[in-house]
Amino acid sequence: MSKFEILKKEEFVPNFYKLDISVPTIARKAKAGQFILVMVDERSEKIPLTLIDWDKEKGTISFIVQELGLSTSKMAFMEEGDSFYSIVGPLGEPAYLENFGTVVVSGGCYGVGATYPIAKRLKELGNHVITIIEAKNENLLYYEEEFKTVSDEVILVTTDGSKGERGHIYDVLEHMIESQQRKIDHIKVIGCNVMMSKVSKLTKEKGAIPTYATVTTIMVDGTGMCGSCRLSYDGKTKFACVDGPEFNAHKIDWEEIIHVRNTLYISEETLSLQNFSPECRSLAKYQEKSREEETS
Amino acid sequence: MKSKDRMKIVFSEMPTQPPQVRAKNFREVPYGYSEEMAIQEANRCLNCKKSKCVEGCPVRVPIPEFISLAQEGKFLEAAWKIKERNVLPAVCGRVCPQESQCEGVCVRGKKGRSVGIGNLERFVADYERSSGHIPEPMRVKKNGKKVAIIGSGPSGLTTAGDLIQQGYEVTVYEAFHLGGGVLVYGIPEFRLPKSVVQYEIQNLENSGVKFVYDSVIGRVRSIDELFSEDGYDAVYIGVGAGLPVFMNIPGENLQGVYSANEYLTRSNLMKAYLYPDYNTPLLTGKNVVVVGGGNVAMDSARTALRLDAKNVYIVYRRSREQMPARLEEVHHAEEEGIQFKLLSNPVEIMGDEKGRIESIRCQRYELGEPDKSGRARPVPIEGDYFELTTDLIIIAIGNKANPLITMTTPDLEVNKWGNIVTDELGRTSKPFVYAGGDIVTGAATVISAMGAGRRSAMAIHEDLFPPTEEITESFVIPKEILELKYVAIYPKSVYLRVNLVNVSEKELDQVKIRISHVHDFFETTMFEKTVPQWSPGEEHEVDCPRIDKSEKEYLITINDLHGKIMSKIIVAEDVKK
Repeated sequence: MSKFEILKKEEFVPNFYKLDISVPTIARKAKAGQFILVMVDERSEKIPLTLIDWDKEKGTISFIVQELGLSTSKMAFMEEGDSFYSIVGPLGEPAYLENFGTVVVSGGCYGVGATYPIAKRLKELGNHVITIIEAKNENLLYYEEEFKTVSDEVILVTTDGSKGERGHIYDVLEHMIESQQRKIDHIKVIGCNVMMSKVSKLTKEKGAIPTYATVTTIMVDGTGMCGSCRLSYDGKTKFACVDGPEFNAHKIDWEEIIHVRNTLYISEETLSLQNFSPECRSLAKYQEKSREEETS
Repeated sequence: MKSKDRMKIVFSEMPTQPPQVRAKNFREVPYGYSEEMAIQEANRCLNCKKSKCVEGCPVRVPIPEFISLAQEGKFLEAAWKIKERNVLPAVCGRVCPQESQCEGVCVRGKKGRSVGIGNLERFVADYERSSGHIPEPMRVKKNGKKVAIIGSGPSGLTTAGDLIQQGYEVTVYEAFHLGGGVLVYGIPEFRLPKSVVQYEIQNLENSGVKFVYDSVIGRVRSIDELFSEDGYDAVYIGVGAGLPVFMNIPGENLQGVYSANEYLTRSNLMKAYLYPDYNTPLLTGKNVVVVGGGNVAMDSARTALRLDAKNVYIVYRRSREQMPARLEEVHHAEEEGIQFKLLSNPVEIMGDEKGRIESIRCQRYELGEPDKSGRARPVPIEGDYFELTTDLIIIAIGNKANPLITMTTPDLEVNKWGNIVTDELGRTSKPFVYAGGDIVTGAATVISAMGAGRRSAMAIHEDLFPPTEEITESFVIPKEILELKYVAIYPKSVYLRVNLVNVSEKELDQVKIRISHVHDFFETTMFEKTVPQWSPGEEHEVDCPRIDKSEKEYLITINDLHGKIMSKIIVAEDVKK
């Protein structure tokens, strides 16, 4: 078996792939909340991906890829038996996990998979785990069955209401907090920065419920060497790759992450995709449009 | 050639790409010497009795000796001569600050130009590389000990090179997918071609050093696990100073502000300068501001220029004389059209409503009283500000110690800046853990990191194979000629200090000390050292790292320039104790 070989690839909803890779060194050290940096080939960018599962005995790690930009599109083209050029990890500090009492674990779009190991570990630690997963529509919801095995309750949310609740994670959360059916001791949220910032705002206003978000920033080395992933936290500059990626959401300067730090390479990303293949051209255009919508 | 004639030879300037041409490409700036030029420049060396240049070199390269060989056109031998002390001559010839080291103390520099030691080192190393005449790596009998080296930068590579020659099993762990550390992520192609670094790493691999890439020690393995699970006997930390310093001024997190580390890593390691052929993007700017006055600032500025910037400014708060960058780099940058805004310091970065930078506000400074370091302290002039329109800012004001290793190794003592505390040979507070280079000293030079790597290799060897002091009487020595002052015998090396007495000549030239094994009257040289001049009563050190203790006999031969054997001593049995 060659280094970083794909043992299994599964497209469980359109454009979302789960990859199982052989990397025994990472599998034996991984902890919930940590990530890896992946290069598809020697010309690729290094992109961070959260570990969603690992098996110490088999020496495998798993992550989920959403076909979004050039690197993730390249990954979508890879097959079982293909190998990655470089995988570095496990990186970042493990998530803050203990027996809090009742915990809401929430994940949206590409963050859904990343919440899985966190929910799993929280359950093992004796928490009452309520999982909320969000997708645009029914067809894009995934990991429901897996979450049922590690949660006491699983709540599904879709933007169009095609399955589960209609709306977003923060709508469900707001309802839960206001109905006061159960006291929430701790909240985890992983997903796009806009969604996380809204959750953060909500929980800060509604009684300052401890809320921890896993931020998504641009990274290069993942060891604190470059400062690409820097963010303002409690008035100080922190590096997501070594100080995070999980932070107390209420202390993060979300405005800066969403509008300043993460829109850096949009035009370059579009160019990359166009160069990659003709099919990607339309994808690039579509993404440019949806990004504009998201941030506006 | 007489000294008088040597003095008449003028300095051979190394030809370079014209500034206007090179400012648009990433090819190396100097073309290098021709053989004729190299010999001519080598002939300027006076082969001083007291070689100050060697003292000026952190790894004590035998400079007059390699230059003497170059004078005779023996370029390969010259390269091998350097390699006795320096495993990376092609790199050092290019990036060492020679003006403050070997060339800074060269006697020829007192009147006119110093000998171009760096240029010659570069030439002979390149000559060796392109000749294909690579000496077969010495196959050393393994000594049974394993050493892990963290970081494949200049200090790690030096430690690896020294230890593999002493029979250690050496593994280098590197966080990136390519080896070389700062030589690969930090220094741009136009100053140090990556093929040069790759070649040196290949040589180490050929000699048996194992490289494990994509491995962040501290995360994938702790230092304790390197000992307990992987069975290493010693660990060397040479991870560099990888934590960028920011200015902490308003607007620093806006779009378009890079740390130099990020800018250079994207461009050099990830090859963003070849974007989109390579996929890592890099913002380019029309008006680029680089803050800082060191080599990293020059590298960033010149990279930006090559990526189509119209104006590139260096903003530095001290004066030109105080810039820590190599003279040659400042000179090259200036030739290429980099604009220097000296005695200025940024106070604020302004951006538009989308979060993109638009301009930077700087305050003017003047030189005041000298500070503790003796440098005139820059003092801000009140109310004196100026603004530069900019679309790309690169902050190159230095690096602090990266805490990844020290954070995950609590019993490793660090100082208040987070640098690892060591003794002079790199021993840390943790047994059998050594450290050297920028993680110990703070940001410094490639060559000083190499010096630290070499000292730690010595310490590792000393600690894993403690010397047994031996008595000089046990050697068969014709005392009328040679006196052995001190001997330390390690299982794999012999350290001697010898004193030449009662010789008829007043002084011997080019004395060679050779240590060899003898099998059936057939001699295999294990070590050779040349002493340019040897006066009676003068002591010399011989540190021979390749002695194999299982050998029955050793021969120490001392002869002068004309091959006349002065003394021949057989050292048997005694060494084996």
